[in-house]
Amino acid sequence: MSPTEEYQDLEERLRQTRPRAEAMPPALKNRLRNQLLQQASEKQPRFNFSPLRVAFGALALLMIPLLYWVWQSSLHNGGALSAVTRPDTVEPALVYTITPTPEDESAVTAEPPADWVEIRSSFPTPGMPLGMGRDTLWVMVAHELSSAEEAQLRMQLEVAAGPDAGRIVATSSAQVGRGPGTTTLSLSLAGEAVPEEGVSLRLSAELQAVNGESGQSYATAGSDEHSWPLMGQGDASLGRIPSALVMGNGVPEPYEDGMLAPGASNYQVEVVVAYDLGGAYDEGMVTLAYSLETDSGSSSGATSSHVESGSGTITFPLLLEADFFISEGKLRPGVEMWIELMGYDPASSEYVSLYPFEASQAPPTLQERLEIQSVNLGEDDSGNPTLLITIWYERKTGQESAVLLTLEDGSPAPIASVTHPIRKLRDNVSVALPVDLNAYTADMLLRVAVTMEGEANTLMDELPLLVGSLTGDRVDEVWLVSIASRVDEVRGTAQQEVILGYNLSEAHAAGMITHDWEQRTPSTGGGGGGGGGMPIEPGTGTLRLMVPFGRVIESADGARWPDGLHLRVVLMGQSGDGSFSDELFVLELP
Amino acid sequence: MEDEASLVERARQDPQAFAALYDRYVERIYAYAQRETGELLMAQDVVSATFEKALSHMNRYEWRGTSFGAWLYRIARNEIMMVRRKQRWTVPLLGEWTSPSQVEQEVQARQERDHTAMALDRLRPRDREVLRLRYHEELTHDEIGEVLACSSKNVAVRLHRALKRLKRELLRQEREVQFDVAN
Repeated sequence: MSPTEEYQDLEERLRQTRPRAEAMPPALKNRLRNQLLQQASEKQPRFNFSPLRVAFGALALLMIPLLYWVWQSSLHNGGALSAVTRPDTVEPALVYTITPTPEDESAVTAEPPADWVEIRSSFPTPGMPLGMGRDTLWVMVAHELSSAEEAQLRMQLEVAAGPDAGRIVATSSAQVGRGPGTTTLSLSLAGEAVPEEGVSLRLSAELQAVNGESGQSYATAGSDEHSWPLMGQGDASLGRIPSALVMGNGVPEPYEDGMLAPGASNYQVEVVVAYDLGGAYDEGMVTLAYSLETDSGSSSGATSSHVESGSGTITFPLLLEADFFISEGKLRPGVEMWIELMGYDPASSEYVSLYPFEASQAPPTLQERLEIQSVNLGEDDSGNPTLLITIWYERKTGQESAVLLTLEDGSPAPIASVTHPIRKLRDNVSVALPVDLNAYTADMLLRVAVTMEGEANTLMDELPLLVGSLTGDRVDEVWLVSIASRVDEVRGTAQQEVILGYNLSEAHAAGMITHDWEQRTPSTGGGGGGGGGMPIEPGTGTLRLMVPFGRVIESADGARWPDGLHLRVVLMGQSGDGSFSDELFVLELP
Repeated sequence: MEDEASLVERARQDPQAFAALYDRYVERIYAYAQRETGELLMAQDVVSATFEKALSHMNRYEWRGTSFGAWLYRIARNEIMMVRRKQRWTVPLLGEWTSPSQVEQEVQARQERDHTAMALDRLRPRDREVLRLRYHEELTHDEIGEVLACSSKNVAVRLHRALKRLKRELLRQEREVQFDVAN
């Protein structure tokens, strides 16, 4: 049997797992094409994609859940999906839909039920507040038109109840053609028609004749489910979290490292939170809190992460006690999680609650952190040898402070030390420590340490440094220095710390070390994976990778290694024009 | 249709002809970038950077008898790595958080995912990449070799090994299901 025959069935199954992808919007495609042509004719190598971003950014944001839904559906169904799919194929957790409402009795329809319209998704989602700087509602509708060559798709937002019930506060419309399709429209609240804060706004959609004098309507959609509370019209620069989601990285796994209290049973989950911090705040913080209340007591925790102005996602790894789960992989219904976004006001050194819109119930529990990320050999301006130490820190306030960096060999006095001022809430800084490692033998194990005064405690981190790993003659290689497990019981997180050594030759302008890790536990079938990359400069250095989660096992030779972990590290060089070389060196562990 | 080698040659002399190559491959590269990044905005960035770099390096492009698309895939792959360098890789958003019950549904949805896709997810990244390039992107061995900078013979070996590991992973899953049923 040839290899092809042997795996014929498998190959077919693999093809069926191919995730669906959205077609490129024609306008975007044409614009990029024109820009490329213009660039070619003008022989100017740069063109700017950002105007397109502005136009399509919000649409793309709206499309992310839909894209995933299409992907999920294709995985489940194993077949292609049409551009418009009936709602019974939609997973309720991912995209909300409604059953098409019966057509208006007064409407004149051609051949029912040929025409239909459905509200597919929106941003913000129903129930989330409008106003407070979020004045535009984006809505995607699916529709099918059979009764005419074209029709007008009209959407409107109206006051749902109270004395102003039925008052229209925003409308939007578009022409649609015969057949199935999807259309995204925006409805803006700007203007005098905006009602008082606190009312609820309801959305409806209608397919109607283009020349609507006769009031001919083909199909309508909309219900009380599609409503949004209106908040006050305030500063449009306020921050917000557009969406947040709990997403387990596969089935949560029991965590058994031996570093937690004996008998403790904990599970690992990841929570992904999307945020958007804008306007007046350069820095801020996202806090994730969780709690469980049962008859026998309650359990809760919170973790925070620093964010900078702009939008992005944060993955919070959490260790949750077994009580949080009804069974393996299923969170107990009583588990509650909530998120908060705060902006940092440097003038008052205080955080301002931006989301949810009410004031924070309790001060955020931001943990102060300090880590050494990498150590490189370098030179100062006079050509003297230095150790270039890159650290990462996060603090509770932005007041001026300092970090102390030392190189130690175990004797009471450090070999070298330097103090560096810090001013930001969170930053990466590289500090040069004057030292000549040639004075030490290759087998000497030194230690780089960094300390910083926190609000209540002194923060400290250290990195083992094998002199030979920096002064050796390896070129364009990457190697493992050490691996250790780190558990932060306060934050409820666990990570594996992997220390790598590398040497990138001067033939490259710069370089990058990428890593992909995958972990699975055969006994539970659980697992996860991820990766990342860090830019490096030519020369020799030490780099720290943090791999979330993982049980540590002890092998026969006494070495400790995360159970079921596969780690692949790739060293690449980068030429002056920014292109990457082939893989210079690949380190695969174990 | 004009054959690709002469189209590439013409595009080298006359940059306007580059548009024909763009039309031929833009959707495929866009789809590839979406599948790899899971985000439309990021995919758009990857596509624009890919074609920009392809255009500016046309004179350095060497026709190797495979396809122009393989070179574009290679550039796009590099761009995706650049994206990974700029921001930590995170799990793409799957929807909106509203209630804990959704969490259960999310986890269940994952558990119910097609077995093959799940097994594919559990392979080593390098195995997964070669399988995706072959069966999701439908590239030939020669094209994959150009993307991954290795020989087509090496691609065949890697594919065979990856398929073998995938099959083993599927068998392992089936055994676990049987074990669960038995218990």
